[in-house]
Amino acid sequence: MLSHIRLIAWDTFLDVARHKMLTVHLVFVCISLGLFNLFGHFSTTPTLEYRMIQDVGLSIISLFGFLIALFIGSTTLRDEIQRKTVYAVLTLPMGRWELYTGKFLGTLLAAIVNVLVMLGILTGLLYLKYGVLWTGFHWVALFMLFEFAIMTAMVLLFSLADSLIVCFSLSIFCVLLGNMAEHVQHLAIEAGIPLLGWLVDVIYWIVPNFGYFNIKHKILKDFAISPTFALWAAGYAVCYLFFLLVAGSWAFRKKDL
Amino acid sequence: MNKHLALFIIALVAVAISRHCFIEQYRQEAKTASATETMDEVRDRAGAYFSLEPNGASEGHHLEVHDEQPDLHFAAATGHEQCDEHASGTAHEDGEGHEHHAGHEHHGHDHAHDHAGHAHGIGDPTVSPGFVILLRQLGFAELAANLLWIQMDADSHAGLWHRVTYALELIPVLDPTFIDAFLLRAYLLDEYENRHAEAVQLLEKALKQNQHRMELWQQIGIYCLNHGGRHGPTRDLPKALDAFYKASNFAGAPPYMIRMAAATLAAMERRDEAVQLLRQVMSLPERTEDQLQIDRLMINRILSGEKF
Repeated sequence: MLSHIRLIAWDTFLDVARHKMLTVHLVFVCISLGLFNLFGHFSTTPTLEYRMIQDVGLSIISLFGFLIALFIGSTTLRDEIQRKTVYAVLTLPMGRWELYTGKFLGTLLAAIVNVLVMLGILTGLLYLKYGVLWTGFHWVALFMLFEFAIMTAMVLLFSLADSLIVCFSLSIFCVLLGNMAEHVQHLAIEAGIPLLGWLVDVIYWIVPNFGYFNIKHKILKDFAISPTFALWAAGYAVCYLFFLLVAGSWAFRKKDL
Repeated sequence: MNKHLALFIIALVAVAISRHCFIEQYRQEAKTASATETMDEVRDRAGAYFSLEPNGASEGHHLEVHDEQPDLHFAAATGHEQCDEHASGTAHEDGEGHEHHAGHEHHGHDHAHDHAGHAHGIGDPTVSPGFVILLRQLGFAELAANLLWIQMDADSHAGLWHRVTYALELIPVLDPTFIDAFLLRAYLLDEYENRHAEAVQLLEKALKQNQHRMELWQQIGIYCLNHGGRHGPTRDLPKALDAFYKASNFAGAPPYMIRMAAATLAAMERRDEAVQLLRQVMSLPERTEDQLQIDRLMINRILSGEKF
């Protein structure tokens, strides 16, 4: 069972790496390199320039991370179904959930490697320019991994929908809502419509709250992240990934293939 | 029961529990305001922001509120003109001490200076509460706080003090590390509204989130020392002493900080300790000749029995 999942996961990862990852990395490297010249004239103090480059770099990673998650998640399983190669795999003595779990882990691995490579490039460039190692790097990497792992898994689940537009729309909607969940809930309460309040409450508890994974403001100000906080974040991310895996396996099992 | 459904429910419960714990921990550590707090703050005061007439919130303010820097008076009174100009109420001149984040450095300093000759028109606010909320929700709370600060600066030039008060209350809600807003609000409370105790309380609240900012300790010390009764009818000398000691322990603390502690000791009639403290500091190799001269002057004043 585990060997099936491992094989599919590795194959998925290689498939993603062959097609998209290198190009995206190249684009990211170009932009990052450009940043150092673009922001060179903001050199009122070296500290300010350093933080500005960190800030912009992290924002770019967030944007690219989301795009990568969207494209990887929406094409991995969907392409197999459309090319009908999935039927060959399904004839093998293995459960659909094993296939889905393999795809799930493969896409997660791809997303993780992507984010780590991008953060690695940014850290390397910062080190080359300033000769300082980014002390908060591991925390940023950890929380971004949580965020993009959930994002990718969510897109993979939505990719089971019949239409690619539905998949994209749902994914973008959930990411936006995930960043604004608390605010939307507050506005619903203020509206004073019980049904709306109840509905938004349900959505609030189901949609992942990505805003809480954003620790950029703490890192940029050299604030400490406590291990307890990181542990709770990890716990939430793992639980949510498990939830998405179960939901995806169930939906894949019900899919008419 | 369907196996998948059971697993689904278990996963959902696990998500709810872990989410609750994670968010609680986040609130404790991040110390940022919740959406409810931000929205309430905006709702309570946004009316004032859209009005060009003071609505009573800050009618006691005057146009050129920043021209006075209260602790310059203290500096002059204690003969510390050379060094204590840095201990000004809002500390806007101290560029090196304001590296808390990028945006502040651009605009936080001009604020305390003379505004004469600036031609600011009175018009609709460029940075409206709605815009601020939108930015916050898009993840740019710090940018929102910085823009609001710039708007507040323009409003202060235009004499719209009701908006200034609103902005100074909202900025820390958006970004609790924006200490300039705390310092300036405390200054206004103390100097123009005679709400001295509230000024200290505000700074203490700021300290909970910014323990590493020397300026806050320094300002608490100044308000609690209350030299010449400038900051209300009461003094809290033990608190002032503690604050000055804490401020002087920071790396790169200005040399006058320890003299402030000595002045506080003298005010507590612990003059021997004050002199001993200054003599200890004088033996430090980094003390320059200028500073040594001021230290000696201070010792003479303490020994002469001058009241601090």
